[in-house]
Amino acid sequence: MIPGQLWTLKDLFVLPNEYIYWSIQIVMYPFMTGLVAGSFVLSSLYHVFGIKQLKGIASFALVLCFALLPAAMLPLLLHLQNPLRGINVLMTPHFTSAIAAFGVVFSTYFAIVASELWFLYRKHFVEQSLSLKKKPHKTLTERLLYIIFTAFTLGSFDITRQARHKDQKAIKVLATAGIPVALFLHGYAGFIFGSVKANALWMTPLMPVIFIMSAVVSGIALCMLTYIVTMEIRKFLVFLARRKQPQTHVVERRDEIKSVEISVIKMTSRYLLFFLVFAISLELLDLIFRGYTGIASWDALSSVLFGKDFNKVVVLQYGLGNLVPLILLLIPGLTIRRTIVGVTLVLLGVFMMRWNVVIGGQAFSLTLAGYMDYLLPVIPHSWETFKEGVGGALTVLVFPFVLFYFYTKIFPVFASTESP
Amino acid sequence: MTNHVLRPLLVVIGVVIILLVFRYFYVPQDFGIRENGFTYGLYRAGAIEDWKKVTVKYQGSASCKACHQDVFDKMASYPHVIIQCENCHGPALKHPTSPPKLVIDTTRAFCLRCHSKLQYPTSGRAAITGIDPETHNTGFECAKCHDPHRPSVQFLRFSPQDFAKLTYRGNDYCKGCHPNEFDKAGGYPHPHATLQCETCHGPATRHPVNPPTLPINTTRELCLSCHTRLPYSSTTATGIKGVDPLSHNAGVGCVTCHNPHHPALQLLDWTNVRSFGGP
Amino acid sequence: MTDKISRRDFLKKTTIAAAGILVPVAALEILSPARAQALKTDPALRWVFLVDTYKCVGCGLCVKACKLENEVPYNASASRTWVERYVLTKDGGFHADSPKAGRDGFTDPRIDQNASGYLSIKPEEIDKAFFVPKLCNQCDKPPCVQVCPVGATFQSPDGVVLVDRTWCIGCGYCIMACPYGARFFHPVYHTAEKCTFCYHRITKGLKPACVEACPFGARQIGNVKDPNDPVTKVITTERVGVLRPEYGTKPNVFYIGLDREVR
Repeated sequence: MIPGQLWTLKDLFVLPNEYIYWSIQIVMYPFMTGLVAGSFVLSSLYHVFGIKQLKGIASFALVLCFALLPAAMLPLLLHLQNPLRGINVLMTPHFTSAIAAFGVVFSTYFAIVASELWFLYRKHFVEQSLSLKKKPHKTLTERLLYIIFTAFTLGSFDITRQARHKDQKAIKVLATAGIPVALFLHGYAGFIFGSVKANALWMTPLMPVIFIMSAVVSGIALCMLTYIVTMEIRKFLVFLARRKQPQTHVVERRDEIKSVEISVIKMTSRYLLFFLVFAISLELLDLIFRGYTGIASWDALSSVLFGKDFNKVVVLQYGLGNLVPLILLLIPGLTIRRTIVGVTLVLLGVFMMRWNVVIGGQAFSLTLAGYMDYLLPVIPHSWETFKEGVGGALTVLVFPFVLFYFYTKIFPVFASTESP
Repeated sequence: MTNHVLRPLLVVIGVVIILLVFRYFYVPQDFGIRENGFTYGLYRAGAIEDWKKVTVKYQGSASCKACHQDVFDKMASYPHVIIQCENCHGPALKHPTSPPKLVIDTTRAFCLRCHSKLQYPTSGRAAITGIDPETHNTGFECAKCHDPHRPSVQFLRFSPQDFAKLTYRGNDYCKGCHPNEFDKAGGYPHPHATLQCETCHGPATRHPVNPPTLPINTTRELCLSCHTRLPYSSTTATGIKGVDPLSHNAGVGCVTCHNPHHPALQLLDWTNVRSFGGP
Repeated sequence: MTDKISRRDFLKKTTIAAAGILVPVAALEILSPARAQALKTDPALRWVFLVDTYKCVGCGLCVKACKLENEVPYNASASRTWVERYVLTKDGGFHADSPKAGRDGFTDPRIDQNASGYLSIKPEEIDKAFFVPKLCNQCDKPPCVQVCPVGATFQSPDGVVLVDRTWCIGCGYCIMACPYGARFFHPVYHTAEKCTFCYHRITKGLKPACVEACPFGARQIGNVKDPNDPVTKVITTERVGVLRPEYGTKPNVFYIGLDREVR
């Protein structure tokens, strides 16, 4: 079986070697790197531009970004026909290929985020290491945590004010340097598609910019959603604590959490809207130009976009994924509930955009006289149908949150314990 | 005391150095930028040698001539001389050492590649003599009659009459597997009992091996070839029952109402007759 | 006071960072223009291919020979070379197919439309119908080589684009980048696969398997650098066409009788 044959249904005149080779994992990859880039930009909005209202979400975003990074690698490893040779991209990078940029950019970005997190949480590592060191009888978990925290201090236990001041400067430098790298991390993914002259849908100079804009949108939306979820969890924990012992004074009060939450959300949603409008404008511009100039591929393209894939493109991506959240977030008096609906729809829209670009670009044949249907494997009955099916996609989606859960044990994300 | 700010950078440099050391051992020594520059010429030089080392399977007709000159001479003035030997005989590899004998593709499908008639204007295909594979001696390999080396009609292995003998087997051949069709049922006479099965079912040839099922000719024309009555009569010239083709349920297949194996009038399928506003 | 120290620290940090970046960069071979010029050879051999679509009858013997010669599994639904059939009808209809890449020839007059089933066309309705064999164009500027992230696919000095099966990671970018659909994943090796002009044969003075197999001489291979080569003579003195010249790939498979409807 030719890889790709299993989930491709050909119709009319399709070349013998054409199949949908780039399937769900290639849809997941730009989606995940988009979340990475977006969450980093959100974090940097506080660290670089000093937007005070975003302080609560800044560390949260950065840790989530760090959890998303390994998860962004996963779709590529699952997709490669020879994943064990994946290191070749770092070993002999052919820089005329956009994918070769992956090795360098990803590593650089990884180093920047890791370094920034280090500076952000150094004080916590030192404090935890020293306090655990004092404990005579440590449990297994505590012993493990002690090793981790001590290792993460990188041998420096200096948390004096001068040292902390240097940390702040370093964070600012890294957060600034990281923004173009984060944009490049996702922009190059757009370049991967936009530079393929053989594909009539992908080929456009706007592709890198469209990808960057929608990446920022998705990153901000995910951060907002995860932030709301964690805030709700905190409120619920307070509620439970109150229920148990109504008289005790709890550190946090529900209404305090709530007011912080809504102000952060209102601020962040303004940035979300800005990038959303930018992203929509570019995508529509691309479509309008194609329709207006009507080159040979337009017939096949339009029959896919507005015929076969009408629901995916017009209804889900542009309608539910762009227009509805735009309206929801613009209406004054933003509530948490409306935000949840809005950002979830935004994430849906961004995902559909990745789907419609990757799968949509392979939905019509090079002959422009044939079509290919993508039959996403749902029930896995082999490794291939798992890794390139719903199973693999869900694994990639869930993995960062599992990582995030473990990260929060080392990098506490709530305002009270982060470094000032 | 080193400035703690540089620690992450030192970690990064450490990782890079480890990667470079790994790279030294992992990447083959002959990997590099070669003749066509960085864009088109970054590769491992050994790869070219790998491709050159692939085994040659097809040896070419010229190499067959050394031992099989006689076949060449036989074919020389006939159209199939243009076909490379190995197209039908398979790749020679190290023949005659290995394989000692080549397997010839004698399937019908193989000859039909060129000889299934396609009347395509502007294509060389239109100029090739061809047949309609659906009707021309179905079930038989072409090579049974046609000599592939000298495909001209003059070298056919069978005359049409001899071939007919091969293809039509006779009722005794059918009885062996299909006895039910032969027994009388309910005392009614069976006029069609003397009819050859193959009149309607076509030549059995090598059925059930090939073809596995026989097509049935259910056209009105076939039935009417015997059952057209004489004017002002109810029988045909040979004295069997007949109908007027123009007035008796024109346009409808006879088998819609008449079971060809038991065609007597009393055994009409009356449900269909009613749908035509029958008697 | 603190600012002055941190500025010095910053400069120190930047210098070390710059040095740190130079280490991996130096590990790559950076060519000076002079060295690049020296490396670039002008070989006396550059392979080109000639297809005569008037002669092709759609027998598919080339596809069969290619699969057997190049160890592409016979029943795999992909082929290094394939034959397309075009049937253009009087009502302006366009019909084309390539059943099993033309491996079994074209014995059925009905057009194989994959999921849309078979389409019967009355012979009297046909304006023109013909067969177009296709294979890798071994482009002068191959987009597939440009996009390979690891240098697994490359252009040999004599112009043939090859894949290093020991190095290919199987990302599929080259398959996406080829405008001609010449590439696919080999079902056994799980690396990118394409026509190599039977490199193992032509480097021994033999012809590619498809050229040998074609009874009608629809396929020919030659050396464009040799002015006496019969293929070169046809390309330079007769009217020939190429597929998708607008992509700037500079393909090296030339067609006689290329119709405007060929995709």
